[in-house]
Amino acid sequence: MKKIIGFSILFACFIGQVSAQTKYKISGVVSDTSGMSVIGAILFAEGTSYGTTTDVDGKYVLELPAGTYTLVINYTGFKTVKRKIVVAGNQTIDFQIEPTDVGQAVIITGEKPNQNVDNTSMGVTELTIDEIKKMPALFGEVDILKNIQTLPGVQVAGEGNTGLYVRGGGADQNLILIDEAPLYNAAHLFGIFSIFNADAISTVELYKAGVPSQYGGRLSSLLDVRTKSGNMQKFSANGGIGTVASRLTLEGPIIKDKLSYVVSGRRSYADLFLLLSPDEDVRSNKLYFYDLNGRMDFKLNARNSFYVSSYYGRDRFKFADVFQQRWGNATLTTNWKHVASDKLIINTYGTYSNYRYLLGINSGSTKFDYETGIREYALKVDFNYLPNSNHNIHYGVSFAQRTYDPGKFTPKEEGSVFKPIQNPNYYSIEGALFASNIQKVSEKISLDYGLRLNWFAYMGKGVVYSYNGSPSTGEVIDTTTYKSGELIKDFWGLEPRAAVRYLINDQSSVKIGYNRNIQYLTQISNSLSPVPFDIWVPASVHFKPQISDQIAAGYFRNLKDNMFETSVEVYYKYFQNAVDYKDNADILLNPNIESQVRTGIGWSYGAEFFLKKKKGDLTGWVSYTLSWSYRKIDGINNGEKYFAGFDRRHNINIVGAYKINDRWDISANWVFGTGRPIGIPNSGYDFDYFWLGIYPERNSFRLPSYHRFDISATLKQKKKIFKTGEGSWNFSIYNLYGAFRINPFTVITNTNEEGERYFEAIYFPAPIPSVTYNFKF
Amino acid sequence: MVMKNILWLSISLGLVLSCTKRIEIEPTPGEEVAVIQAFLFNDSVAKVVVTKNTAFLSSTKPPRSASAVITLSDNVGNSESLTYNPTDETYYGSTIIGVVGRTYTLSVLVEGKQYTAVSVLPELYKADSIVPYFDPGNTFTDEGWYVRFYGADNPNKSDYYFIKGYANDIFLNEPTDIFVSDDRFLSQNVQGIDLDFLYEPGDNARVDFYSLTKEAYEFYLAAQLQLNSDGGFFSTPPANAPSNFNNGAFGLFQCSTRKPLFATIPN
Repeated sequence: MKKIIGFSILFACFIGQVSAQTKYKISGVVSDTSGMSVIGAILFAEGTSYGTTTDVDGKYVLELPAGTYTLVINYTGFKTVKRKIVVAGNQTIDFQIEPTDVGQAVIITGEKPNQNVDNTSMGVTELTIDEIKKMPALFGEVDILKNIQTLPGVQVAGEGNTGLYVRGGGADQNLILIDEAPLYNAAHLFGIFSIFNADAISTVELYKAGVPSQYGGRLSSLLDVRTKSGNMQKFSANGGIGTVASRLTLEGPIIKDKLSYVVSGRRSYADLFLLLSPDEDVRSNKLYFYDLNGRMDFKLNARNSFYVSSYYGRDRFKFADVFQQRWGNATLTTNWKHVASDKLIINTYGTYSNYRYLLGINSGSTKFDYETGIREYALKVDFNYLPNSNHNIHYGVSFAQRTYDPGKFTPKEEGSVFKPIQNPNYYSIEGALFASNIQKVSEKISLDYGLRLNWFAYMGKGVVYSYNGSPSTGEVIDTTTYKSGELIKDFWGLEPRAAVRYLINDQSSVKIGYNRNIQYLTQISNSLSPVPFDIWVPASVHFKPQISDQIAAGYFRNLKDNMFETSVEVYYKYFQNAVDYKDNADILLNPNIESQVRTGIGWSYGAEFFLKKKKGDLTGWVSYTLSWSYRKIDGINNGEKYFAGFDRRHNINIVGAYKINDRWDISANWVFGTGRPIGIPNSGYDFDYFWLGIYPERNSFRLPSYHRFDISATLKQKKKIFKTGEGSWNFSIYNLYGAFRINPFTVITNTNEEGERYFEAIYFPAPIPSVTYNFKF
Repeated sequence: MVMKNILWLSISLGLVLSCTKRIEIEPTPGEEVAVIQAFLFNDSVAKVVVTKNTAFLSSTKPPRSASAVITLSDNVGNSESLTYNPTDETYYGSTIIGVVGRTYTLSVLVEGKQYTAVSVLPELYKADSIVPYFDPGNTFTDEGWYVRFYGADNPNKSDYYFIKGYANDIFLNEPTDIFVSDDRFLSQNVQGIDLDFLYEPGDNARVDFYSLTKEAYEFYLAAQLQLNSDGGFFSTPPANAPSNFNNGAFGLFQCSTRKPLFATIPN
């Protein structure tokens, strides 16, 4: 660490002298014993101010004047490596580092000890899979999206819901990528679980601001999920048997050091208990979800490597033979990483993503199928050019084609009381050019700037309706039909993104950033929590692209030799063409969907406070978010501003893990959030045989505040599995005091048998205990 | 609408884990507004009830106005004043009976404010019969006797329907059962659509079919969404049922063709 301080302070003094000398480039890759690249490992020449860190591909470049040095490689959780080198010209040196405690899980995301202070990014939070796995989990299912929700700036719709509402943005404004392939619905069981099987995941990064220019298309965040690559050296297996689901992951080399595989599966099994029922009807019910992840990595040579990864998951409900529902994602990613020179790395990605929803009814006179979905093919080439240690340049191009299926309704028998309805598909193509640079201007000042130029085209075949006035009138006066491949409407967009970091000292910095994001597709969802049959529509004649501008500033300070990270960030975000729905909107299979939508502006602002303890037996974080989110849309709430449905004034998360001894770990978290705003009637009237409410302004009533406390304990098994394998038991209780205090996620009105009306809270049962057995060998 | 109900049902299954509990909330009372319930059918004179809103949780119905001045007129020059019947606190017309295709205007003057609604009386295209059938029951229906509807939908225009069920003249709709439908999903020949009224063997089943205007349909649909909402978490957020009266009155002036269909449930 001292070296880094020296590096920071002394660099300015040396700069003139150093730049006068001839320097040679030492470059290479740092990997761990499984052959995986190590991100953020620190390399420095002992006794000098020369140092660097490895990039996301484990690659490093260090410029040194001729001479003899001791090169030191440091990485948390790994043994320090020292090697003597003689520098007389450019050379390539690869390093392999070993974990300090063999058998302990590899810490998957790595970073420089003062990374948060030193880098230019703001609003970026990384969680390690290890951190996530230690935390108490609902039903014992480790869920990365739920852990993301404990970070500052992220709001939650309600209990047990995986939707992310980032800095005032809606649930459809997050670009969720698994190995670069987008996911259009990341929820199982209506959001109780996310589709990410933690065993298959290596890193998770959430960008709430300053999304890198290589990514675009959503307003509020980027959730970049990467699957892990298989061990190139030896076979291993890990898995778990849990309360609601079980998991198994197998990985290993196919050709040692060349070709590896990972396969990972997870299935829930609540429905398997139904088989115990004596009732045949009950036995024929199905209620489960599953995920399959697979990946193969191939190292052709030092300059070329490839991987193919795929995800396939489904939810399935089937009740007797009368009702069934299925939905899920399929994705495929192919990557070719080509190291063109020691300054240029080219990553080429081809991705495919397909989301489908199917409802089938097979009962009486109402037999039909209903289907929706969205499919995307995309290609991206990302050039990463590192001319010297002061610039990290990305530039490239991406292209995507999408087919949106807004719904097909098919009666299943002759003479049905229903008629078929097939809303025609929408089509779009999208291209983007991007360029960005992280530039070290001086030891104190770093800049991160980029630009993304988008072209989005809404394509035929399609039908465009003309309205008598705005689409909100719903009065169609003309229709225009476009042929397949014909351009209907296109948009150009420019997204500048910039940030500056001023390093006060190596333990503290100040950062300011601005970024614009444009979103060309909208999830039509007239409820707080998206449901699996919500459709996506492209920007078109009547749907303008949504735009967000965000400015943010932050102060970052580490304490006690980076043992503690602290930060304060403030932001203001402004949304153009924000979407909401008219009262009682009819969005189901509606060919004139634009007549149900209203657009206007939105704005949100807030402050986020974060304290994290990274080292020692006790680790964890405290986050506090103070925020406001508004919408102002003509035709809604009489055109007056109103709170977005996920607006919460205060959010507190306290998360802690404590290592008691070599066998026992305990962890706990406490979550607090102001109640979200909903509409409840403030008066009522009778009409014929029923009673209706009169609703005042939209979202004018606050639910009671939300809080809960979860605990978990992990016990490592003494006995080894197959001599070297490890097993552990995880015991957790979700919402420990939930029996005494409920957290309504919504409130409805109800009437009892005596005709008395009352309000009724809907809430998750609690506490929820669970036990999971995890193993690896 | 069938489709909406089914999707809603599927979500309810997703919420199967959830619990409910009565909670005490006392919303700040809203301002007073006039509420008008007005009906004109093809088989009867106009019937109007004038009330106000009241506290949402109030167990007593709001008082009914006896001092309103109500006039009904049509587009062919007929006009009449409605008279108040103190027994059922309702205003009735005397001569005008609804005629399909005519446009009616209802004006209500109460507490110095005038509220007007205009509605055409829509045709009910073809409601032929209801036929009993026995459902052995499954995950979604109780075992018992139900009826199926046979009729047809006019393919040349948008139609809207509302139904009420009776068993031996006892009204069957629960206060949350708003059976309302448009014809977007209906085929032209509706040969046997299952209706959700449960009968006992031997019952005299009756189902009243009403034609609705688009405005009346939107009122009933909003009522259905509101009464079956989950507060907007997964469902459409509850919102006011749009009235066709001007000047801020709540309620509806419903003009309908009404056709009762009968069947006898086998013993």
